[in-house]
Amino acid sequence: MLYLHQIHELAPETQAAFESFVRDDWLPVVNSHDGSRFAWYGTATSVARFADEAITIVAFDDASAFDRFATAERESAASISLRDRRTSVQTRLLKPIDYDPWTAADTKIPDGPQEGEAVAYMHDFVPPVTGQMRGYIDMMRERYMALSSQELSGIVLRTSWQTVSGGGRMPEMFNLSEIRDVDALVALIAHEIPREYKEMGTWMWEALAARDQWTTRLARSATWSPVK
Amino acid sequence: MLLIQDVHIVIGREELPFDDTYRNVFAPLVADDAGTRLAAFFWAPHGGGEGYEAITLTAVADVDALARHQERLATGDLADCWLDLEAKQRQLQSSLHVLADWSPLAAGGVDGFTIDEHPTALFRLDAFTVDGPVSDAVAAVESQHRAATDAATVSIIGCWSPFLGELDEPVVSVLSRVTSDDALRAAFAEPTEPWTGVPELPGARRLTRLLRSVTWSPVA
Repeated sequence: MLYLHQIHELAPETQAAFESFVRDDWLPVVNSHDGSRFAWYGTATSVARFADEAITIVAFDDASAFDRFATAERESAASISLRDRRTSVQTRLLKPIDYDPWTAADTKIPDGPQEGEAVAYMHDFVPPVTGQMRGYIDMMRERYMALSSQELSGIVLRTSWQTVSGGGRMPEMFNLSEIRDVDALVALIAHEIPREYKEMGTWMWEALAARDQWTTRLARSATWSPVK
Repeated sequence: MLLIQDVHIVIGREELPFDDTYRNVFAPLVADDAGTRLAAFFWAPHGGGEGYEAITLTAVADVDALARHQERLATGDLADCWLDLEAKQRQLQSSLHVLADWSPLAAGGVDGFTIDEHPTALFRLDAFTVDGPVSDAVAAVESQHRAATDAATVSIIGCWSPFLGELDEPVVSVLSRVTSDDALRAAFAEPTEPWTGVPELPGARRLTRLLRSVTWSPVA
């Protein structure tokens, strides 16, 4: 699988019109291509860092499907319409990492909009220290994914993908974590991590060798997003 | 009152030394001048924004005090400490602002900012890039602050705008305190709803930072 992840920066107060266009016009165009599926539409919550943006994820069965989609839509009227509705865009091409929960769960993408309740997410891009992507992947697999289901019950990792060559401005890991328990998020955000957890020799300190920069967006899926 | 807003991207392994140096060395030294005080120290919490991003606010009484502060940082008694702090960062963005007189933050003057121990608190700092006059936007925030209710998710405690006014980027910053963990919990439980108490400035582009004060921050 390959995933086209785009963050569309929008003019203030145009989010609703953009969302309608994507649901009613762009999604059918994407899904008209063999091997392409519009998977996820995310939008900012009230406290998200960037208020005026929308996030889309399109899934491709393989590189051939991505090529067919790109060849057909590179200069299409629909693509131009999408472009005209935003002020700028960040594009990333991603592939799943071997422990990716989305892949492990064999996530099915419905072939159209699916009405349901919005789901809140922590949407993270993490650029590891240059040269440390493999080390960071190993750390995620061996340390984070080894945590017990009870420890992970509040904020659940749904995807763990990485940029491919030609797929972004720098090597990054993309983690999308579902917030299932608001108390877990409040505990993470509102309360300070004890100092002894951060000191030299701790797991947190060791992990900083691989990465210490990231951008978290507190986002939510649209109520019609095929995958919530 | 003027405010220097510094956005520090700190090297992860320097988090604790950076915090300690600010608390034990830099902030007390800053207060040696009657016209300057460290007003606030916040971290962007894990899960809510940029990794290892700290925001500091330094209150400055007037431009004379600003000139003294800048001299102290460059070659005076603050210079060595400031250099040490700079070395613990990847990036530093510094900007100068005017604090709106009606801001609760302005009530005690620079002497109102003192370092004490207290529980951490959660804030949001909204930067609105406005498409009309900055003064109109500040007035609109004041109106919404005065009309606020106790039941809101956040309450406004400060509003500032560029020292250079319309000569600079037209960004109006609003600092609000989350009223309680319960209010935060309720707000997160409804991800499609806007937080109550946050100013609304039609046509403005909003950039938000979720921030947590440290236990020794004067603003807490």
